[in-house]
Amino acid sequence: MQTILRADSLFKKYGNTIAVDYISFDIFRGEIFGFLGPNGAGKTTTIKMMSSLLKPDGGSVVINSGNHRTSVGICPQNIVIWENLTCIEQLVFMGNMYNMTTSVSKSKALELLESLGLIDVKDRLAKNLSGGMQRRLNIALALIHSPEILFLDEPQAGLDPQSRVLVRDYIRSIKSQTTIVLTTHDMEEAEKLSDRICIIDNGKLLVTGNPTEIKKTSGYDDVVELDVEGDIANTFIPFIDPDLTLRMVITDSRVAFSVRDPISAASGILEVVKQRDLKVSNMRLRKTSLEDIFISLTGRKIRE
Amino acid sequence: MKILYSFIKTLIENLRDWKILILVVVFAPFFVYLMYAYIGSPQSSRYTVAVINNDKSGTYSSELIYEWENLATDDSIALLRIQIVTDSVTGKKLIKNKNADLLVTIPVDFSESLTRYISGKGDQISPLSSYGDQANVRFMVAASFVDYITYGFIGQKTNIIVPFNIDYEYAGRGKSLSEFDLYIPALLVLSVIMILFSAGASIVREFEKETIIRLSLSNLTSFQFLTALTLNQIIIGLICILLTFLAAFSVGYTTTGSVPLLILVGTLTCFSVIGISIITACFIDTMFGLLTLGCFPFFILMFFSDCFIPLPKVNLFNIIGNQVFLNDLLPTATATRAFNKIMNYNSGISDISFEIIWILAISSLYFFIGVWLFKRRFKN
Repeated sequence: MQTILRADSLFKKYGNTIAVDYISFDIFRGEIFGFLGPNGAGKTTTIKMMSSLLKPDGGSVVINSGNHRTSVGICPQNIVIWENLTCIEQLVFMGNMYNMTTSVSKSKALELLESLGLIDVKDRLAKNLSGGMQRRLNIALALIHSPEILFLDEPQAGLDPQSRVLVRDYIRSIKSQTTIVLTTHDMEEAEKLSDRICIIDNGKLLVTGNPTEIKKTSGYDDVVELDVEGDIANTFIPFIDPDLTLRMVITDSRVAFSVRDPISAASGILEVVKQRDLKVSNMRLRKTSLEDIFISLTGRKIRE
Repeated sequence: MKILYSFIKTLIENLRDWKILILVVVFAPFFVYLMYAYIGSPQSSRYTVAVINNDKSGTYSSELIYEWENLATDDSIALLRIQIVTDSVTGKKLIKNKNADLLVTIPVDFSESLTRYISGKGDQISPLSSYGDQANVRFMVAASFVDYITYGFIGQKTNIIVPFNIDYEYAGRGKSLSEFDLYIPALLVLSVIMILFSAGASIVREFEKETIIRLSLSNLTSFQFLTALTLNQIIIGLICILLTFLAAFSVGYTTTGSVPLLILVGTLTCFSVIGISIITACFIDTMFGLLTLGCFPFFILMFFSDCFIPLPKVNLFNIIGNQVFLNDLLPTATATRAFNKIMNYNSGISDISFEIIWILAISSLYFFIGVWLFKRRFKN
């Protein structure tokens, strides 16, 4: 795997708050790199440093290509478009700004508009597009100059299911030409799209790797979930075998156990239910998801 | 080429954001009509004199009133409007309501006393009495005119010749200047000051919508962006000047000032306002902020540039015999003076060379500060 971007001991501080705390990672050419973390984890700051929009206080970012700025494309979380220009006008303008001739820029713009389902509204002012269309135009603007690395910050936020599928398929289709760094809160989406992911929290890198590998390294492949009435926490905590569960997550009346051996774990849990005479309305056994890992690493505390 | 593309893009955006453009373009022409309505036509900067003619003893009072009515400039523009009133209550009411500038009462025996004096039978002519608001400058001017004519009239009738004369030499283009004429240069500068909003909007829009990120990541430099913006706004500024001129011409204003000089000073003024706009825009994040906080520099430029309120001149220093006043730190103040010299006094380039150099120097200073601030924001 050829490294296209190397972040080395990146550090950034705002006043007394450390936003990014000496994180290092490599991004390989042609991969989709999922960049995950709760709100305020430091994702956007890291992306800004990687795309040279923000100067790090420490560390470095090296891109194995020419001009740092022009070899990256950025699709910010906010919709960043020129409202008083039509779709085609702004794409051609941005192409011109990247030294593309108007004809080349126009042909690339039409290709992007076609791929992202915007060709029918190419001459419509951006401010008159629907929210979903504006998001897709936001992506197109990041791609007009065929960047080597594309930073997609929450690209699917606010999209309807049809548009999500379209955007997801499009992201996959350009993977061979463009390395993609994707930030999202949608774990399912990240799992489906990403070749590798990294999870950061409080500015620290927690884990990096292939989603399947990350799930495997946790050692807990399965989750037993129960919908129970009563004081769940006090009921179960004394009975939990530390070797049996990685963690116990309680959400309202639902309790989820990450387990190594789902069959024996389920019978142990049912034994507790029987002893305590608890009313269980539902019991499920499922595979550990990326979200389970994410929650286990970052905790359940709501962030600002 | 990027300057051209950026220029076209900004121009399209300005045209489509027509509400701000209309505000910018029609503001000063609107003020031209407003001033015209307030001050009156350019030919009628006349002072109203209310007259109570109590004289029943002869026709000298009527002759005197006729002389007042005929007081005119060299180009035959009457200076006094005579309004005959019957009693002092009505006359004083006119003064208090500012419907007249001066009230003159001619006594009952004015003609009789003058006749007696002329024939050597009397040694005193019954005096006229005046009434007016001393705080009103127009009262002082009207009273001076009336005094001047009256003393001349009495001198002529009594053959008393004052052995003294004042020779007047007139500045300007040989025609009288009305108050309205004097406001037009200031209104031209006001029209240019308005581009503070359109120029500011072109920058603030990029910050507010964060499209500046896209421009910053591209190969576009701050210099290219600001050059395109400046060219754009100079065009808008010159259109503003043209429309203001057309509005002034439509209500009778005339000038024989040099058009190339007007364009030169207009362009330099645009350049200076754009510099100030860039500085302003670098401290503002939203269009709302521009239209609220942006009014602060707008009012400073408007009020301290001699546009409407004549300010006391505080001399800072002299350069080669030219005084530099405190408000000359605003290039628009110097521009008002330059426009006035060109339009109302037919001044040529040699007469306003100092103003041109000063506007250029001070505008460049503002512009470079603006560029420096913008660069800091553009690449961060």
